[in-house]
Amino acid sequence: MIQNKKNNNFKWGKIYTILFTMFTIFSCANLDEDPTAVNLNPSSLTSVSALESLVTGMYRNLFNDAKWSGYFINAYGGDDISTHRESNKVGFRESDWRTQSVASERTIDAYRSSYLVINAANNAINTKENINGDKAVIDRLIGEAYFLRAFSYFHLTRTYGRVALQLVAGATQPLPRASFEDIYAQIESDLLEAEKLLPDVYPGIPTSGARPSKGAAKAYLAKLYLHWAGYPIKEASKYSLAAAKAKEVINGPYSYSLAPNIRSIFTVADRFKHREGVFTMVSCIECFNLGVSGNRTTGRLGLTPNAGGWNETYGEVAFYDDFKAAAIAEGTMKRFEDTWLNEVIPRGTKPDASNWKNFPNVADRHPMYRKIVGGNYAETVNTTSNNMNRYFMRYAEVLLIYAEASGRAGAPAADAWAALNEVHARAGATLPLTNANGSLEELAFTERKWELAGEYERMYDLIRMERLANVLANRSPLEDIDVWAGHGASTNTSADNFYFTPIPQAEIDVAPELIN
Amino acid sequence: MKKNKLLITLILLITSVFIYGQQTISGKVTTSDNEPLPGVNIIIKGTSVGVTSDFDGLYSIKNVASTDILVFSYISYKTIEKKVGNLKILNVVLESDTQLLDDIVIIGYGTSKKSDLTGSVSSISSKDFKRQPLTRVEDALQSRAAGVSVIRNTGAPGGNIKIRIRGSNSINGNNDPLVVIDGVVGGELSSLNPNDIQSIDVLKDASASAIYGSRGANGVVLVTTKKGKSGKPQVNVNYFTSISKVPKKINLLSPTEFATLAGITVQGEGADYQDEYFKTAITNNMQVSASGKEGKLNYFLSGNLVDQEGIIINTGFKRYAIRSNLNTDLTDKLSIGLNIYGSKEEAHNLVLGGARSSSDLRGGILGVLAFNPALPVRDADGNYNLQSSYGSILVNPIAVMNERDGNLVEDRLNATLNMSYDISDKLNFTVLAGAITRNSNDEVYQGIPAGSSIINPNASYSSVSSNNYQLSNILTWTKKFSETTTLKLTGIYELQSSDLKTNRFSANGYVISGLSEAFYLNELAGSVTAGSNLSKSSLESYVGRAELNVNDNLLVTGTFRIDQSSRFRSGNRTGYFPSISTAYNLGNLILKEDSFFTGIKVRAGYGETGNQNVPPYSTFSSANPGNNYWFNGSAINIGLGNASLVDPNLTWETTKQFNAGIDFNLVNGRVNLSVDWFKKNTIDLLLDKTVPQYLGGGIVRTNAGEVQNKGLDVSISASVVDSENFKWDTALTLSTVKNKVVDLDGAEQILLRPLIFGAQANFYSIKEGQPLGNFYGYTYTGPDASGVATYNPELGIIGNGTPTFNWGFNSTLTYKSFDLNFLIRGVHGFDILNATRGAISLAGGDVTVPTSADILNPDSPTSGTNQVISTRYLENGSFIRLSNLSLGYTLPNLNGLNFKVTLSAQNLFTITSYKGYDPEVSSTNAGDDTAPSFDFGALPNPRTFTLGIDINL
Repeated sequence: MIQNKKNNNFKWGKIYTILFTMFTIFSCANLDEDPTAVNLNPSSLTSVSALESLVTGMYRNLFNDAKWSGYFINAYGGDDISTHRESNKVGFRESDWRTQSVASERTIDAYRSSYLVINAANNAINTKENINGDKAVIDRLIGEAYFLRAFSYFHLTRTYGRVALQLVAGATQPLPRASFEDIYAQIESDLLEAEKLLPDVYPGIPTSGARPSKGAAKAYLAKLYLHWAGYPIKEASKYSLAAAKAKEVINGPYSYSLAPNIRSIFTVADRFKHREGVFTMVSCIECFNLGVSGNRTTGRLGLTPNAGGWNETYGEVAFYDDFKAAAIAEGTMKRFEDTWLNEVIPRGTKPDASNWKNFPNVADRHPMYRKIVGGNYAETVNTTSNNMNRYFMRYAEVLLIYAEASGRAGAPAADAWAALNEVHARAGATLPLTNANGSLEELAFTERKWELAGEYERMYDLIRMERLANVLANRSPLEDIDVWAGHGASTNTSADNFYFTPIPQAEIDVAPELIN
Repeated sequence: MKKNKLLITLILLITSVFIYGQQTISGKVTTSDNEPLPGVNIIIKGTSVGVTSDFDGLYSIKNVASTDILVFSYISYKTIEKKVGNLKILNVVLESDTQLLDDIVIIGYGTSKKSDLTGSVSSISSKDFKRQPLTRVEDALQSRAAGVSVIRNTGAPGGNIKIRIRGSNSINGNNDPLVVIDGVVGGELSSLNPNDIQSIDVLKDASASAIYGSRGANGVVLVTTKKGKSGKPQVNVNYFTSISKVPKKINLLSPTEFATLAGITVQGEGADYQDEYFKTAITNNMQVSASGKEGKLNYFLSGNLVDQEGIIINTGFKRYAIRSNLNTDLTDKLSIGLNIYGSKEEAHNLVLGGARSSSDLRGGILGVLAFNPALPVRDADGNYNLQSSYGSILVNPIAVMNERDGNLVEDRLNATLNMSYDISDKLNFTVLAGAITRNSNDEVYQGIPAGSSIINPNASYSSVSSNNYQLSNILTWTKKFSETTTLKLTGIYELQSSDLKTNRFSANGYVISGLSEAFYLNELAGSVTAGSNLSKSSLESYVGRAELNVNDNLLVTGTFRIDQSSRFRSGNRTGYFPSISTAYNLGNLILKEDSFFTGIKVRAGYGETGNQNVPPYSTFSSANPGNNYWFNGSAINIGLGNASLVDPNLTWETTKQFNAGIDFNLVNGRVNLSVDWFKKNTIDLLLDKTVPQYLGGGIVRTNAGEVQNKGLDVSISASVVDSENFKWDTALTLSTVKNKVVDLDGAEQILLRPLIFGAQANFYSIKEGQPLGNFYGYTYTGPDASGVATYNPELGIIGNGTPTFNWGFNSTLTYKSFDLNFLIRGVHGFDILNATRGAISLAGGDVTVPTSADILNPDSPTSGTNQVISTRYLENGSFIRLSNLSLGYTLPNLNGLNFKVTLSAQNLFTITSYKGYDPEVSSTNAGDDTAPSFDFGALPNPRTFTLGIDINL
């Protein structure tokens, strides 16, 4: 027994020694992390394809918020659109009334997305020297970065007024809100850079405008100058620059043209079958997840509740009445029909859209935009996310900028009248507009009102011409949200947030330097 | 046994030579449960003469004089002495010495006698919770350890449970305590079989937890699983079945009332969506174990099956688990043990650990409460009514839930090898090697996806493969200077490494609708996106500990740990974590023999611990993939997001804790009272600072700021009545925590929102001088004359969601064969933001017409902005809850079988003024300590009735 035990001892002791030695050998920890397997170090992105990916991500950042109506929050102040009197639309209502506060809903979308795009653009622009490859491709991609930075600052300043001007990626120093002059100058400088770098026609895309061309940069310069000449800077000399740039677009090799009608460009089937888009946001519900990769400003949310809709964005009563009167007077009923729903909607209680003034439920009594519900409503009427295009700018607007800016610059050439009448004719008019109908600038201004109705542009026309208060004072007494709330929109032009949406509270919380 | 008998015979032979003319005495040794107790040593006092009881507890001892005294002793039982007198038969009942059994406390890399403890440690043994039917180990901890808060954050079976030890230290780091199972760090309590647990020891103060250094800051939960004991093999079968229901219903508008408000008509009879969504759930739990000692091998083997339905339709949880704990003394000097635990857990339709009831955070219970009650679940043709423009605009939650097939399957294997070798009497070397492997697959198919649009089915998949290895080399040197004076030195070298791999895909837009449980047909999806990730981390540690005991009076423990973590860069990587604690037994000095007090011990300690809970690669910036775009409207172009901001100098968060305590032992040990006071300051917080959008947005994780927690832990246990037939044992724990943000590195206030809640406004505030968990929102000023909700325009702190006072009262009364146990607990001093009520009380968000019956109150506003984050929906969250009530009856012994039947109820009643389903639950994840007590459709804990049978043979 004793012998046995000894043996045991020996055997196990040996195994134990072996095991212990084994563990000791494997006992060396590597404490230096190697993140390369999973991390993309930004400084390692030096190829053209890497730059291409950065630029693609920049568009996605824009899309993530611009697919929502909230991105256009400030535009709800215009007299072309209003919203539900209750429901979850209080953010839109407060914009419609021009009574927003820092705590108002839906004010973050445009702010967040614009700066994400700007940060991505800064990143691309700051590191362009590190990228090796085909210069033409690099120029094109960097040109897009300049374009989108300018586009985002333009959207920011049109929405929020004065904002911080950040041009450096990864910066940590607090900045004050810049002056309008500095912001406009920066946008101009970026667009001029984009104009230099971008190709005449962007290669490999199915439609004009899905990615910007040299023409798009010029068109946005024209639009920038048009605003520059109006409120808030009011530097009238910019009108001639606006006209000049618009003319370069019209006469240049950018192959824009008006579609035969505006109804078809707001369908899914025909979304790529025209060359009217100057800058267009394309959706793809099949690409990812319908809720993520679709346009969510259109479809069902433009219908009244009796048609099973959400009433998120619909037409204002006075605006519709004026539109109809003008269309009848000028022979532009084609555009009127293409802009508004005017038939029986095969949904909900199957109401006749043209009879909206007599809908049984007061909350339903307002006109519905075909541009929002869909040019072919069978495609989109049931959707809250779909593949309709969002046109940030259409060629029709370039033509109208040329007409209006020429008029306001005081030297309207014949082709400026021609530009106006090209849009007017597409609207269905058989007779051109002439001096007898009014001044070119005012005719063009009014033509924009009808042509761009419901496309989130009207508000900015009213701001730059300081006509917002006037228009808001003349809302129809039938306007549902006013009747329901017992008050109308503010007309106090000196109120803090009359023209611009306040920078959202969430940003002020972490950046109190933006208060003033 | 044979050998022993031989030896005894030999001894008897020898002794019989000297002793003569005396009697033989025999009898049976049993336990208080009337079980035979083999292996009991029976010796004649003052001699070395004795026998041991046999397998049936029988003994026989010859040549005993009537003046002799027999001493019956057996490990972990109270030793008793009996005079022989003229007895021929002497049957003896040995009482288990619970005090002795509990005396051993696991302290991390070793054990200590409870009386030798210098730090603050709470111990719970299996007998403390055996009267409560448990499917989760966390429930055993609830209200049984002072200073340990266990919050059932969700009623979803298999959901996450929040455990906090002495409050929350970290703002953005993890606040979960470290879990150590049989010496191996990093296990999950949720995966364990509660019946396998021998004891749970909680290291609360830093002097105790500093031995775990960088991972000890949140306290340490040490779990020890059962081992086989010598004696008769024991087989235990335990089965219980329970039924659970939602404890209450929310008062909503009737279909007619709602239709009137919305200006519509009721279709059919409408529907009660709460009745459609909640159901009576059945749980079955089966547990079998066998333990004993065969030769040199101790074994404990067990199996467990839990099959639990959720109280929400189409939800449930299953766990299958097996364990084998083997240990053996190969030689006098060498012992080896191997514990293997394997489990499979299957959670059906569990979303985000139960924090939500739907993949869309506005859906699930919120969708149920807000859905148009005037619209039946199905139309006349039997098809779902999927959407309504009135009430919630989201897709019908009943349809979503019925057509959802989500299955999270987690397989785990925990293996621990423990080898201990006594190099000499004084020196021991132990190697502990542990591996924890976890593989999980989450497969979700949504036939009718949640959300605001009706879209085609989709599927998603994610897998996690995680490996965790630990190797601890422990050298212990013990020197006895006298019977009562000892010095023990421990040195440890430890390595730990883990790797985690994840893979996922999401398959969207099935081209065919109407399929059910079609996850495996994801090839039908119109688009598929995939992603994966990998992270690796390691830790290398050196630990020293000295424990000095002078005359059982003065006790001093000092530890020092050096941790080097791969998560921080070279130069910031090494952390030093010292601790010192001391205790003094005053009893021997100041107490008289017959004093009311039997013992008084004072303790004090200080220690530093760390927190390294940031994900690997946190100090490296990365441009994030997944920002793809589709320029041509059909094909995907790969896009990168903006690079994240990082702080390359990130380093340890350090918690410095001071603890002082006093232990009283009264009335001969029948009453124990412990009071501990602590103060801990956490500095260099791992803090996520929100970056302004114009500086890039997102967050940057850095070290900044300081948080303080102060509080008291009190525990009282008493054996109130201890008579033959009637026993009453009771225990009360009380804990208070006062939390305060001391410093935010210059920032006046950090505003944030819960991680899962992507709303536009921030609604929690972290502010200097204030506790964590402050709600930041509007003060409601009532409706104006026309019914418009009005608010004070100034935003500010409106309440706090972190409880400040917890207590638990646990009592067991035993009368003959009956026993009655109840556990009442209270949680006090906090507010809940009842955003569930908020969402349905006024139009706003995704609710176009409110559904709450409150809207009919004349003082309810009828229009205006519905600021959910306002005092209007802030409620006092305090509650007192009867967590467990059980009545057991032990049947008379039947052919060696012991039957016990238990009838019990959990969560039988709750006293609270909270208007929601359950004040204990929150929609924020259990790990989100900066955003507690936010009820946005949180899943309530059910009320449960249970019938259990326990069979021992």
